[in-house]
Amino acid sequence: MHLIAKVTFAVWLGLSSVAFYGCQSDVQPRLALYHWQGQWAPNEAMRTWAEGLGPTWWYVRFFDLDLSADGRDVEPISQLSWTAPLPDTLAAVVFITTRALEVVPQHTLATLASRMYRLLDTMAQAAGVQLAEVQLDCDWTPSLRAKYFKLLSAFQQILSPHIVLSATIRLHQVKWAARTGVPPVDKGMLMVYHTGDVRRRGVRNAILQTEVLKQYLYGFDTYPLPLDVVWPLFSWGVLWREGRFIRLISPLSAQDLADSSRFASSDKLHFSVRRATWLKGYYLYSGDSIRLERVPFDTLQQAAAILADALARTPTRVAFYHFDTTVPQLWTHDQLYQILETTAR
Amino acid sequence: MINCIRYWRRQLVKGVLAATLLIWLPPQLLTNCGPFDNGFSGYSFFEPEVWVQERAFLPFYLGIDDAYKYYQSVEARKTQYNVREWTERVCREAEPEDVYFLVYKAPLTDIQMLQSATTSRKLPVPLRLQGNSFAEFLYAQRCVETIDYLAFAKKCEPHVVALNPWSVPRRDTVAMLALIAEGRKAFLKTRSDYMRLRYAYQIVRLAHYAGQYQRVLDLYDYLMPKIDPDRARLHTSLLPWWILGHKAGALRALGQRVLASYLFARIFLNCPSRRESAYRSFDIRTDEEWQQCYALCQDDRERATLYAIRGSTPDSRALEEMKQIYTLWPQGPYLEMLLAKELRELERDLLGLAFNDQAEQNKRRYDIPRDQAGAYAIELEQFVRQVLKDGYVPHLSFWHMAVGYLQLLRGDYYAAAKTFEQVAPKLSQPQLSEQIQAMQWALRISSIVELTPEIENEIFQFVRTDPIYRKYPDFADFIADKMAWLYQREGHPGLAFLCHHPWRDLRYDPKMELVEDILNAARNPRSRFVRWLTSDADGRSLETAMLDMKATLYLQQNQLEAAWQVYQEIPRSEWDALLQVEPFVVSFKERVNVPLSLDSTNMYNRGELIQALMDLNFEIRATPERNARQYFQLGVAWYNMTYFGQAWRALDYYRSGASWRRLWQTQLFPVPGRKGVFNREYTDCTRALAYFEKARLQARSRESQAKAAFMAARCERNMYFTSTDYQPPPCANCIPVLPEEYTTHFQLLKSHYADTKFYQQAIKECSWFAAYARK
Repeated sequence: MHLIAKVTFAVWLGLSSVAFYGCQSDVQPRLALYHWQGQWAPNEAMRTWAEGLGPTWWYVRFFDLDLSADGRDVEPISQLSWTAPLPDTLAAVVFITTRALEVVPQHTLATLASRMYRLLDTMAQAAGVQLAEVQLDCDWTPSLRAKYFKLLSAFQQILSPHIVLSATIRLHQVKWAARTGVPPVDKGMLMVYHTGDVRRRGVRNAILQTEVLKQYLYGFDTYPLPLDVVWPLFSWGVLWREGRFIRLISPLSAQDLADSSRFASSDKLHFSVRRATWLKGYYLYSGDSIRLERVPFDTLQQAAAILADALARTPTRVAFYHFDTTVPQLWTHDQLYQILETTAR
Repeated sequence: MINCIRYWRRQLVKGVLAATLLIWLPPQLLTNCGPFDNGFSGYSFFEPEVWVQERAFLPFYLGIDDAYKYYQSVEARKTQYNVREWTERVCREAEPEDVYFLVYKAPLTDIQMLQSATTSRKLPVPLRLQGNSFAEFLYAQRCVETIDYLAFAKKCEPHVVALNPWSVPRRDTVAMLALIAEGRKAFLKTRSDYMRLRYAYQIVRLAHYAGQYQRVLDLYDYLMPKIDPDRARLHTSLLPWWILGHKAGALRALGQRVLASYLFARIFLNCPSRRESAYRSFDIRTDEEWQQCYALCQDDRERATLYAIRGSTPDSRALEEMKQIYTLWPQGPYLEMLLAKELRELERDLLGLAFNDQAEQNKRRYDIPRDQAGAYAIELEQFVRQVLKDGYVPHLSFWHMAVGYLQLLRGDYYAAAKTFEQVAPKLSQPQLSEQIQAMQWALRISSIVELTPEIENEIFQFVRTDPIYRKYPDFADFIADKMAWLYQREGHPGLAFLCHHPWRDLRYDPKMELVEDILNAARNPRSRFVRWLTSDADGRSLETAMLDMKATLYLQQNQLEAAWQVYQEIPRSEWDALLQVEPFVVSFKERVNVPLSLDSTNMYNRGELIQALMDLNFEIRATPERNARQYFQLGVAWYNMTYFGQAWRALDYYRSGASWRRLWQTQLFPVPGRKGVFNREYTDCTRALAYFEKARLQARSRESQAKAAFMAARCERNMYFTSTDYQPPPCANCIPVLPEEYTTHFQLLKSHYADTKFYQQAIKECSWFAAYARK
């Protein structure tokens, strides 16, 4: 009996090890989606598409932190409202404007963190959801680093141990981590977009260009934070008038600009306005020009392959920004999963 | 060592990359200055507030985002309008502040006590409302309905005020619905049509904020017909528009955007207190919706309003809208509003473009001027002329002025001058006359192509005596930039410099070209302007200061005869005041700002110093083989006159200790707080090194040789500090390790002069040398 027990234990140990190490090499990151609109109200097509995607992690923007109307204080704006049930478990995202961070006095950051968390918690309870993660999204600069990190540290103190604290990380913040610092969070969400200056006329695609992406891929091997990755699904039109950048029109597709009586096209991406017209709530004048930007699937795949080589660790989540009415029309489940697999390679 | 080099090279690469990023990134990302940032650098003499009659349009021609500046006044104005209406409708004798208090500040309990007091007649006015003229009036006149309404409004208040942004926005809809029901009952009971109107406002607002959008529409349709428009004097009240605003909001929430936008347009037209919110709520997205909205308009005023809203967006090309409005409602306020907006934009684009020293930055950062600004100004002017000619618009003087200003902006100065001359006599208001005067001066300055003494005197007179100059702060920059531009073009770089900088700024990095130009002008000022420009704050001519600077520049280049000749033009009595240094004192202690000796015979002014250097050179030429002492003296002087010596003021006017750590990168450093001004440090020790070497070779005694070698070693050390080979030590007090190629003379001292007294003294007194000697 004693011998049988020993043999049984040894077999069990061996099988467990094989299973464990075998699984380690096959761990797939989880697919995630960002929701960024002010209201959670997915239509039928969106719901069906999302359900067909399989188990999905959700990052839902709960509110922005910005200046108050009189410019003297900071307050939450664009609070999320919902007309449909939210996912049971999600990551609540707060977008913080840099101008808000500039205004907040250093000594009130702990209080601010506390108020922010209380609001998040209240909203989560009202929505009947469980907060598994809180993510702060702020494009901090070196001059705001101290304040932002202090805010994050204050959050760490407040959050329950089971709630993960994460922060969005831009490409330049990894490359120049010595200057920008590494935020004191549990993990980072690497935003692989906004590689170009949208206001520059010569830029081909300010959302993502692989040649530009390559220039940022330094320091990933030594970056101390575990990083998840988020890819762009969005598109926009960059509106120019008399040589000046006016605004972004988003979402925008070539279909929106297909009317040749209103728009002339020099190529698939550049359009001029033939006659004054309304487009998505903006009035355009004759002579205005639009540069259409989106990242096609092939480019995302290419970028994913490039990034996969640079990442030190396989991300636990590969996310896509952001889920709106256009996503079911323009993207298939397969495409998202292919990008996920390439990223996790 | 190698790791140090690698480390600092990496830092350099990072620094260059970071600097490149800083240049490449748009400054909006860098400055993060929010709504108050106005980094554009230009000029403005057009004051829309003076010309445009309707102040409620202020946010529209300033740009809605700039409405932050007027935030308080907009909010305050809403309250003001309401208080005014209460006063006019209910009690003209009441003080507005008392009305404000009762309507906005008094708690419900006080209103309820006032209710009881008014009903009973035995109770007095509640204590906290005694002295409030409005409360006393309502009590005395037994305005029970009004007080009942005020009590109801107080109950509604917590449900309709802006929620604490830090709370989850939930309203107590149960309580709100109950209040709606209560309000309806009270509405039907009330006999006063005006109070009914007030109840209707509260009820509809409650329904809107409760999210009961269809109910808003139903209540509107139910309540409003039950108010007699004449008795309620609806046509002079704000409230119908406020109520309509809630209806429009409900329609928008229900997806009926076109109808909602039409109603918002009507509010924009008729209700100044809600104009801004109506503008923001207007939401048309397609050409079809626009057509539908347009079709809803009942008259040309409403149609014109649609165009006005469309043209009010900050980046609009409003001429298109103006043309439409002109055909519909030329007498309305919109044309002025949009013209003011376009004039401001074109002013930013075009005024002073040729000579604005920040033009490149404006283009790079803000894309100003717009590409077709000039052509657009012509197009706009053509339209304005037509409007002026037709004469249908009110305030023709504004349009006339606009023609002139557009002519000025596009550079037709002759025509602009004529236009302003025609406009000026027609203006009766002093503010408008001042505007024209300011524009005429802007025109005058813009049109100058060549400076003459007469023109300079004219400018001088304007700056010194004309109140218009003081009233318009932009004239300072405008004139400075234009004059600098002209002086530069006419070959007066020094005068151009003085237009932008005080003369002392030249001391940071004097340039012969500028110094000579200012000197010539100071000697023979051709006008009062030039005399003023070339004088210091006390009115003294800059001639002496420039001579001093010129001599210093010659001295830097070792052109002693030239320096001496220049210095002779300064009266000797002034030499001491210009400089006192001790260039020939040598010491183991290295100090730069404290005299090394207390002996005044070691002090030299600049003229004496030049003379002394010339004498030494003469002696050298006279006795070529016995000049160790003279060479040594020259070496000491040239060493002490560098950044590293205590006589640095002989060659430089400003020295910064902060430059030390970056001398290996550059000799030119930005001066804090002085835009565009750089300080040059004089660090060249090669001349001193050459003299010390000659001194060592010619010295007979080994002590003297050792001394010369020691000073030469110091020069080599400083040359290392200013070379790209330099590696800053890990701490401020650490003695850096010199590479071998910079230790020739230290090695020489050690190998050849270790037995001299001087060597022993050097080891004792100089910690640097002691450190090197130990290696």
